Amino acid sequence: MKRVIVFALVLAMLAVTGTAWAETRILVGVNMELTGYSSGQGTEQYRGILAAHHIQPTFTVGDTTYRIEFSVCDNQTLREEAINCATRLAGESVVAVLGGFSSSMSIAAAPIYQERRLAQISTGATNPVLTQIGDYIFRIPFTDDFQSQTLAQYVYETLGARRVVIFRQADDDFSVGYTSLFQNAFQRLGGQVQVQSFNQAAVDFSPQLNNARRFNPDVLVNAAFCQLAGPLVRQSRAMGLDQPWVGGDSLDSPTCTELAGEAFEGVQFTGFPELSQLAPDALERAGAVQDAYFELYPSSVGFSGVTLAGSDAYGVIRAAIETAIRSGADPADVARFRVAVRDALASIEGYPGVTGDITYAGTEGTPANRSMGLLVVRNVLPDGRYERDSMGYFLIGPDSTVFYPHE
Amino acid sequence: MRGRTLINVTVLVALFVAAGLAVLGPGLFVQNFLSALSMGSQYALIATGYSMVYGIVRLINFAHGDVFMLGAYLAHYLILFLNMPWWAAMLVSMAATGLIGAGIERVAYRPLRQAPRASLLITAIAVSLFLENAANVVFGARNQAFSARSGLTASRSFEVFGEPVYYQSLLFVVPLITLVALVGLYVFIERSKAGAAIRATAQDVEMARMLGIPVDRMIALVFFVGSALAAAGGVMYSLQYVQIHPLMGILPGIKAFTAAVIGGIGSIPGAVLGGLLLGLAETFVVAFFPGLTSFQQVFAVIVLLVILLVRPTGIVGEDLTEKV
Amino acid sequence: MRNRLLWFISIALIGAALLYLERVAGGWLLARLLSLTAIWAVAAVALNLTNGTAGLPNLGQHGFMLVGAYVTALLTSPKTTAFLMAPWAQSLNLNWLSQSAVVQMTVAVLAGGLVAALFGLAVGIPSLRLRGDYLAMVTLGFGEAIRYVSATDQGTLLTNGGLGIRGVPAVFGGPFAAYVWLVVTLWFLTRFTQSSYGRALKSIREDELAAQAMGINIAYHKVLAFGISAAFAGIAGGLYASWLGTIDPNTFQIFLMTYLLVAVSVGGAGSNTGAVLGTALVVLVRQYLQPLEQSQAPGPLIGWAALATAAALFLVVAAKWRFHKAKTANRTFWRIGVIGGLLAVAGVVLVSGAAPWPWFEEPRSFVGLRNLLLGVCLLLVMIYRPLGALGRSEFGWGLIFDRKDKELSDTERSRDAWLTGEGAAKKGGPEDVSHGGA
Repeated sequence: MKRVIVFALVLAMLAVTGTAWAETRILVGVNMELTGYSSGQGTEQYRGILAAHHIQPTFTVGDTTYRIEFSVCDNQTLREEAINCATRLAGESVVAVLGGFSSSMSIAAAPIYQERRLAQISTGATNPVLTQIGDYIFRIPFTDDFQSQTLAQYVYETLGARRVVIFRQADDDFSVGYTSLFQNAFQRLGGQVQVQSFNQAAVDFSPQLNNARRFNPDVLVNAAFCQLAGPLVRQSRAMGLDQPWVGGDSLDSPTCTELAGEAFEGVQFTGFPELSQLAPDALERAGAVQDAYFELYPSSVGFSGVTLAGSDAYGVIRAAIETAIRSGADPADVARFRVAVRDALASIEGYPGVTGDITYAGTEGTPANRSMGLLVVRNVLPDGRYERDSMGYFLIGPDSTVFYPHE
Repeated sequence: MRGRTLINVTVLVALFVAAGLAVLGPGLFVQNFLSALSMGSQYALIATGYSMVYGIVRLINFAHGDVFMLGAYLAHYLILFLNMPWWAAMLVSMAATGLIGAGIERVAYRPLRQAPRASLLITAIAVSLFLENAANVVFGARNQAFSARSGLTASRSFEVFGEPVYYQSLLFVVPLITLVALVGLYVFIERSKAGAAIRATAQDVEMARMLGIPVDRMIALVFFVGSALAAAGGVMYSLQYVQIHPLMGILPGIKAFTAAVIGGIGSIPGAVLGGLLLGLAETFVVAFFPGLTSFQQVFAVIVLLVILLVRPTGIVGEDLTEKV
Repeated sequence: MRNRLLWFISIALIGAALLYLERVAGGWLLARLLSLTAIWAVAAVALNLTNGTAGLPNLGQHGFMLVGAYVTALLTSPKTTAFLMAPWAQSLNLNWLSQSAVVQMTVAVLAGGLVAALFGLAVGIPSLRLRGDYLAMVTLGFGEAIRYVSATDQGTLLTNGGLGIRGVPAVFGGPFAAYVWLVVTLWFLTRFTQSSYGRALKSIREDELAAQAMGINIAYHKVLAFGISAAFAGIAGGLYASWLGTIDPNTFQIFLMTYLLVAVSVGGAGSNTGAVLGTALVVLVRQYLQPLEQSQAPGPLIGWAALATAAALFLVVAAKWRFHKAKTANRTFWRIGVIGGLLAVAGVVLVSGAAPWPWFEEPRSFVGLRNLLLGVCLLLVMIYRPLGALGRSEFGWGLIFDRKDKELSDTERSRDAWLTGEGAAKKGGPEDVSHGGA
């Protein structure tokens, strides 16, 4: 008799605690450049996702706790592999996909997500074409028309340059798109532009640099990713070219200083705003992400804006999944749940992110009113550590872009 | 006949220099010439290994470029973990890579010695695939910065007729090392007993075996030396371009093969000549025709195709067509 | 007669199954993989023609695929305007061409094959006098050169350079369509190989000088082999473009060539069945082992690899013991046994996590593992069984249905000739194509 009572008690306890402790898994796909020419920033974005996940891996709706887990696929910065990853993830029970980082991989994979009705949040693609592919495609950063035109204006007006050489990676969508947008903007302002090209296998940039030298530019613009941009800057200084270097968010990575060394000192680029430029509560959230990041990766050399983009992608998708569940969608019905997640994503307004507030409602996939910082690399140390200082930030408004210089 | 060739060559060189000075100006001409010399010496270093192996074993060692990569990585880790100076790391890496090369021969090529030539080539491709991906898995499939820090890469300049020319001391070190390697090889092959044994093996394997020459060991020695040279090339290349990654050997391998073919595959002096010529051609084609900048990578491959189809014997080489 | 009936029935059944998979039910991923296998198999079987049947080492198949893919993409992708087929078909009032996407795609793929064939002739003709390994280097050089050239500033005017071409319609991306193309390719190439052309190529492979002495036009046949192989590679390239939807020069890197080479060499150099099976193996490894390459702790991975190798070694020993006539243990067995034992112990230690060193626990990326396995496969095959798994044998219905001692009458054999390749020749002729039933 005693045994029966104890047994019944234990069973009752388990039943009560069981429902409270039961966790349901929700799978989110990650299609990221962990190797290949974008792997520096791809890895940092992935780490940003993991850092944000470390802070908040679960959420609760009613009496069920949901835990987000990842199905990760390395697209090796190859379009073919990005398509394979997308194919594989679409065949699994993931409810959304984060990534890729580069425009090229995101654009290659997007048609598959659109066809399979699977929401994609690209964590780093800035090429405007991406979100035009369909209503299931979203992104975190600003777009290149904003980015390149703003930089062109800065270079022409603030730096006073009239002749510019822009170096691009001819087989990358971001690089080519950015270059042509910058070129148009700069020429419209009245400047002259020369374009030098190379592809991802390039090691020796002396032909391009020699040609650039003959053009006699005032400023050099770098539209490549760090694995090429770093050696390019290093070789330019070794060859005696001492014009200032500027570029876009593809330069925002410790990989650049790792490969360029001290030559990268003083390079200015646009990217996500420096932490101190954010509103106080955003700064606090960003600080939490930074702490989590260095807790997970203590040997990391630096912390860049692209990591924050990864964190925001995770935060936004978590919020969207939570909203979808609250509105009654059932995670077990994967196909329908994917649609629900996408709809929840598309109606997000004012999500408090670490790259600024994120609003998808009323847009075609690019967050409204993104702010962008102008940053400069200072105090490069031999081991690759550096300071990512702010020179100010740009705010895109409905009519114009305003620049707020750093005091 | 020799006299005529000499005159032809001198005229060509004079025309080239004149055109260069006219189009580029003295400063840029010297600048390009220096980088051509350095590039060409690196190709020559790797091409020598290719030619050596082919001359003895009649095998196009497709994996040679990946041995080059291994040499670079070994030196990288030696410097990173043991803090050796770069030249010491290079020597140790040369020895270790030589052993690896000999090991590859033992495991992959020796069982196929009687097989048709094409099978050997496919085996070499398999070895290449294996080495590249083993490096991907073990070292990591991403670009790393070569860990050597040496004063050789510091940028210096001098003046030529008022125009500044920028160079790195490395640009002079590479041809020097290539020269040392060439002289060493010459002495070894022409003047030493082992060299004579190698030459005998190259001429007629069966006869050499009957004469009591340890043929297997000679072939292993050839692979050792060739791989060591490739490793030296790898270290030089990494010092100059800083980036290393597991697939870094594919393109230099093809270019080195082109260089070897230009000079006539099987001939070591030919390999050096071919390397220098290729370096000059690559640099100056782009210098003279800036519109062809994007062709720089593929230039060597196109030259390879043209040479193989038009004059496969190269400048100083053997006849490749089959006789009855 | 029976064999022909069996072929028709089986082909139809497989086709019906694939159609069902594609239209009615079944995994999307499985459908994608089956169609990829069929597409790559077209190129592999074409590679078999030069490398296996003709004995001409062709390492530039990826270049011909690139040509075919770009021609197809330029003709059918809405992103390209200069060459797009639909508008000018409409303007020429060719309704049958401008209305049907399938017809357009077929024409585009065939055009890709044609242009690739021209490139094949361009490569084949100058290479006639080159010896084996030099021919291989020329084809390899071509394959790499065409890829780089399409990305140069000048090439970009035609190919859109490194950005590639997007939006290729997925008309032939499904398994049924790809399967149809594969069946057509196999039928054509099998007939070709069994014809006098094929026999001429085989005799050139065996002894070129003797073949020339017998009056066979070496140049003509070699160039023909190259052209046909390149044509089907171009067709495969066009199909691949449809499957991917986006192509760029990096899609056709040398790795694609190595996959085809592994498929043909491991499956059987000279066997079409082997080429198809080899392709299936490669696609399986590339797809299902992809999770192995993700970031994970090396300890368990190495441990399982050690255990698998130990199991394989034990299997080899057991097989040799079972079939070895002498049935006595010798030194090699003991050596293999000891190595296997050590590996098993190491494997158990690593898998259970008992290894003390922290390096085994820190997660790291294993990118390159799949290609490493394929490379090891190729290496083992080239060293221990150079002719591949199937050698030169093809699948034939005789393997299943004929008793080994049954002698086929001459009429029966000549009826099977379209597949078995004996023509009216008696058993034991100059070809060493062995097949089930004879």
